[in-house]
Amino acid sequence: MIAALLISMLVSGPVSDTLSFAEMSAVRLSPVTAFATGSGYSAAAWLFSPLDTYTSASASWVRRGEESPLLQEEGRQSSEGVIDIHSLVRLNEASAVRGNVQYRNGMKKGVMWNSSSDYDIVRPYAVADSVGGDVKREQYAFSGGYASRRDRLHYGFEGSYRALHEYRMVDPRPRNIVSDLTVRVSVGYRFTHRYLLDFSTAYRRYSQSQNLSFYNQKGSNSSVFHLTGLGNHFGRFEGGTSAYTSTRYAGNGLELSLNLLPDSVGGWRAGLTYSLLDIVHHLPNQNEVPYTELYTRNARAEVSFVSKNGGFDYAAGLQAGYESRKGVESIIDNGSAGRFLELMRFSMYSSDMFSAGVHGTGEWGREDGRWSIDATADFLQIDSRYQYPLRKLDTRGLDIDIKTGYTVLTGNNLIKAVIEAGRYKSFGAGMTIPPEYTLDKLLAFYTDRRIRMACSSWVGGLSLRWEREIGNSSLFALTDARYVLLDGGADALYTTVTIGFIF
Amino acid sequence: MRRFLTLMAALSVMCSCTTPVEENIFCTVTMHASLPDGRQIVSMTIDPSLPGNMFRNLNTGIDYTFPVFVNNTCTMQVQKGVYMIAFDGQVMFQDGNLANVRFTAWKNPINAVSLLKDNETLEIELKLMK
Repeated sequence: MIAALLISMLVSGPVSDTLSFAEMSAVRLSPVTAFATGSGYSAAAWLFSPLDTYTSASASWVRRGEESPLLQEEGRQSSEGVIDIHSLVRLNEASAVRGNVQYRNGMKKGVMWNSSSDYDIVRPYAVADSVGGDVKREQYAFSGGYASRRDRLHYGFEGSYRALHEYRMVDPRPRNIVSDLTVRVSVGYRFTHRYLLDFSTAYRRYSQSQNLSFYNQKGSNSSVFHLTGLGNHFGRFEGGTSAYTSTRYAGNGLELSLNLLPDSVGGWRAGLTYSLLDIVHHLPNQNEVPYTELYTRNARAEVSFVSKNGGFDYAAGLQAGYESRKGVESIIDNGSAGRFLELMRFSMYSSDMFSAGVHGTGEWGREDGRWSIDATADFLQIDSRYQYPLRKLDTRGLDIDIKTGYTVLTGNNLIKAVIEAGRYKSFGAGMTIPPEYTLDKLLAFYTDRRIRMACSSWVGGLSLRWEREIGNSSLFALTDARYVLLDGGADALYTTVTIGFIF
Repeated sequence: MRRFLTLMAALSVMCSCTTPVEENIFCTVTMHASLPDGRQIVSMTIDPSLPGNMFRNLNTGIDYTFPVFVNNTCTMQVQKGVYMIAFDGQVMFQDGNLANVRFTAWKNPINAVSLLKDNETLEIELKLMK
């Protein structure tokens, strides 16, 4: 990845001798191009993407404010500064390198019932305190890869690494350090004059070490809980300033994907992807005894067709995805041998998420001014269950979203405006949580979630991008705002402001 | 395609933990209570509201209510696990007399008893309180 960035410094400017920076940006920003390059481009197949050599560096401010968040574990608000450097370098007609460096620094506000990082990865096995608060976060991410082709064969490899540090400055003080490494290898074969069959595999190593401390050694008005799903928790390890506030997540993952795709933007695409991530949650101060395990499985299938000839370009596709989470809890012995031993394991938690959708996009007009429309409709169903005491939470809904955009090229300037309208229709949510086995605060928390899940919402958005070619580079600014109004009256606003340059 | 799916399933198994996951999470516990003098107990009741009376899963913290012992015996179903068991109860003998009894052998976490099989039998050796 570092090599990719160094090479990009030496090879600045577009490789294409026919397109200007602004015209190249129009290609990159095209929804049809985005559709075509959105999935299926493995560590090797991205060699066939329509993008030429370019490097972009940008600084962004990203803000999220939700009056009634679906996941209070991620907070009501977040605000982050992001620095992003991305580079793609075509070394010659047959090989290319690419790299990405990203730094994020910000804060999540109003985080509830979660002191762990990467909640989406480790849920439901978060360590939590009952007070919550603001969490500062800092993340570094690096990725880089090389791809090449020889005759009908193409191959590539890439690696990515992410380091995250999250902490709070008042009691209770979680301090989490995440290390997330992925290595991916792909190989493919061109079996007709324009279609490729591509196989990709990846290995992922995930770890998170967590320590939750109190400066006031008498404790605070909070307890530490080791949550096990839908309001249940490992009662043995809860407490105010107990010895059970250090935990460690250790995970291993695999991904396999098989894709059929054309060697250019236009054509049919079909893909199957399966991934798994197994995470064991340990207590480091108790002889590293494992007390929960989470097995996440993802499967995704998609088929699409893209037509791009410069006139009326369009793309349409179908996709379906399934995610299964199985949670296993350990029975830990009485510790009479001076150390904790795992006696038995139970499968206690399960969550199944199914999604299916259609996506269509079209683009038309002249080279100096093009209209676009992008529409999606996705059905989502989530069923979560805890075996004993029996707990259930389920919901289903339909998400419809339409974006209309206009891109204009005038001289050295590119201006793109997109407006968005959408509707999420919830078909309701059901919950079974036994009050006699649940803390009042956790019962109220999940009751809020059920009500939130049952809420439908309207979405409106506006995005504006301005880009100007200056010498051998291009300067751009982007602002994006998305407003969500829930049927109950609560709202949310997501905003992004970005400035950067491309060379 | 069939080979691809087989390969995915095989890799999934390889990445799973090797210790098997128990399917049946419940254990049927039969408790036999006995007194030092061997007298027959017609019935024994245990008040769950008394502090210190517990049939508690050490890991999950869930408390169970003791059923009434009839003819020295009771049976209940609990989640498999490690349990702290202690109580003060009242027994009734065949002559109709009542007496207070105490059981504290598995009161502390370090003495907690494991109930891991589908069926377990516990011998409850009571102390007669004066």
